[in-house]
Amino acid sequence: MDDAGEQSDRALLGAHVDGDPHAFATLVRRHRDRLWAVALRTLGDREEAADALQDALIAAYRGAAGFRGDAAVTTWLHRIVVNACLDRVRRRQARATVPLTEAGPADTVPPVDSDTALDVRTALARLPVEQRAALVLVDVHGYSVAEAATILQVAEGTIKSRCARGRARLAAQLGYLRNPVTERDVRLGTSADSQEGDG
Amino acid sequence: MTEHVDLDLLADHAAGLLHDAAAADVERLIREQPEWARMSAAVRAANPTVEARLRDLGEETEPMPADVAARLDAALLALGTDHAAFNGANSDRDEPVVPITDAPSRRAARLPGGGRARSRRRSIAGWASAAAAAAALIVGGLALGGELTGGTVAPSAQSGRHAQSSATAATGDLGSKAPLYDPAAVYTTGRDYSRQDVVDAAALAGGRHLGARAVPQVPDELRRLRDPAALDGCLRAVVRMHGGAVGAVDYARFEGAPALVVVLRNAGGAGTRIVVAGPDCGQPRAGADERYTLTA
Repeated sequence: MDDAGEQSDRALLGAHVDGDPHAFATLVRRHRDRLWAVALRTLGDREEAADALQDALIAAYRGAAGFRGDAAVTTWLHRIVVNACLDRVRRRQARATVPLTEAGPADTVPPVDSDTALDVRTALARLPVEQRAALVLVDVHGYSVAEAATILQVAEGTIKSRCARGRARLAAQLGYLRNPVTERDVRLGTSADSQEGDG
Repeated sequence: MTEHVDLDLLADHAAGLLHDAAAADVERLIREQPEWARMSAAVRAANPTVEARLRDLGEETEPMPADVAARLDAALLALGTDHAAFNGANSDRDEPVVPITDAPSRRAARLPGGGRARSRRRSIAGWASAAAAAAALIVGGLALGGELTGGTVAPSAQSGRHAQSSATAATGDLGSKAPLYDPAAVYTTGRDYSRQDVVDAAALAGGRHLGARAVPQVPDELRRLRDPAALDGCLRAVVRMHGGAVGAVDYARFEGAPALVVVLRNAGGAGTRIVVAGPDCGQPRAGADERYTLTA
């Protein structure tokens, strides 16, 4: 059962579908900072985040009637925003003409010297985008694994694996795995998900 | 022999995500290989700290910057005004109430298409486009309550990349009788674009061919849009929605369905937008019949 706030979100979405010209903007205003933070942390680039958020909100505006009510309105909005972010990253990767300095696969050995350890934001931006999106939702914004799985439309086990792998990579990049003898032997997989399922 | 430490595998193991056989393999490596043992311990020890740092990041406020808010404000205001303008324009009509079949509550909604059975998605697109000119005028100059910035439309709303392209530029372009497109920039590649590669269409605006398969025929569903007046109506609907200038048009497909791919060069050289329009583009109440859009 939704709480009163969520019912209000649903009421606003319903009002939008029913023709209230202000309802959708009110709904967005209510959640915009959180949606922005998710987009920004997922993409690691301000302009990209703004583009993705605009695309997502227009899509949500147009697709509001398709909201099936089986998740919270905020979960639905986050799903659209995160998917818009992932679409943008995948398009960049498919085009392969834009340097993936922030959003590309982090398949290189991360720095392990604490003197050169990265800021957590920078380290997060260097993760593979699927891991980054999972961590942004679960660890940064406090969504449950189940909610994150709903938003990203993958199995809960996949979210757990993405988070575990992302945290390990972050630990390496932040210098927490410092070991000058063995670090050169650390190999990072290139796949975000070799572990699938609801484990 | 020393095996390379697989950090992903160790992470999955530390999280208890491996199946029995895989877990046993990792545990053997941890027992037998000092590097694996050391790294396994380091990953487990680091996890709480990493989680705490990420939590801290979440507690940092990250309010939407004013310029981004203004940009979204303008975009949503335009859409919202489309909606309002349409409803207002039809307020004296006895509009049918049609149930939304894919909503669990089967909530009734007004559809702008009169008695015609149109999809809800299309009807919203129709709303959005049918009165977009009014929205453009409003965003471009008239004072309306800004939903996101909480007041009248801020000057910055008009200077945002997309706000400008979707409002003032559209008004200027559409106000003239001049053709909206260069006939030389109309292509029939027949290419079946996807979300991943539709951005390639941007090259058409530069006069470059895409090496598409030779499909000389326009899909039947798009034949109506071969008529210059119909194409003009479609492009006007597209420009009303997004602003900018038409750089190229391609009679093609999108994810298997016939589609008109329109390349818009944004006003002020701020970028390129691709709009995928369906066969009903430019039809009354269908607006641009937009299927997909992205900035290139």
